Amino acid sequence: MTITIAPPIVVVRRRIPAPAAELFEAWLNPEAMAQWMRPSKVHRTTATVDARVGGRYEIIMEMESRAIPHRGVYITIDPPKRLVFTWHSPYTGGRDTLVEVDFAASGDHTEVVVTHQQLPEDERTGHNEGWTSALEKLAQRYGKS
Amino acid sequence: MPGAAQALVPVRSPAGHYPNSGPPAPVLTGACTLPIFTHMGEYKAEQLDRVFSALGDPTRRAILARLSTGDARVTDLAAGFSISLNSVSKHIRALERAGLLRRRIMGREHVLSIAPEPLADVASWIDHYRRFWEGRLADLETFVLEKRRKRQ
Repeated sequence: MTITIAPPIVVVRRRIPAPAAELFEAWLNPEAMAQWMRPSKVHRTTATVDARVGGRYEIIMEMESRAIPHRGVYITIDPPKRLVFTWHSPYTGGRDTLVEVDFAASGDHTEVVVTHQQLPEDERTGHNEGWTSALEKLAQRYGKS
Repeated sequence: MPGAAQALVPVRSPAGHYPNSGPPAPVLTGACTLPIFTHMGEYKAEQLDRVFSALGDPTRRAILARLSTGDARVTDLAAGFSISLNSVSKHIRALERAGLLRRRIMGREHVLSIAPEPLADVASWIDHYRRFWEGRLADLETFVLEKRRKRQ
């Protein structure tokens, strides 16, 4: 039996022939998100966005039988280079996870890198800990240095 | 059991992107079904959460990696780590709570073996979000290029 062990992290990258600014903008624009944040089984996506650090977003993906909410808070908004936010959905075990999006321009292309990971235990919003302090810790660790 | 028929092949992990990454850890791969994402009960979600917490620590991943090569007595396992037996025991208990380890008591010896089922759930989670983000980035490209084309 060969079993191998991975840290729970997903890294996905794509090189897109468009300027970083246009791609970055599409991550925070609800009308844009309604179009590209829509997997094939989802017939409609609606998004609301409060695009500032500490602001919240909500993306509802409506499927045939149910609507799947995705919610989170922006940790870093650094256009057109980096966007970091928490991500909470029925698929994250009811917990906050972390999504980091980096935009690296090269010539007339931009490489977009999405890193999605579980938050370490001590950086989650604790029950006894204010949200602000948890957010500050996150910003310290994952924000722009 | 979803993990039973999977081909488990070592793959390089995305080293350098994970804050705690040591040497590249191998990754559990395989053709994953997504049992937890179709009828994901609260229990399953909590269990998965414990598994993720357990795997978030490099020492615990190293313990699992060691056990993936064969069962081991607690004392022998601890001897392979530079930290104290007490620390290793704590990590072992965390892994047990996550359902990642089984402990057999044989006389005075505690023998540990790996329980692979939760790792299949982790692989499913990773696979689910890899597909999700790959799909989103493809659609992002389509959306932005279409917008540019219309503007021209």
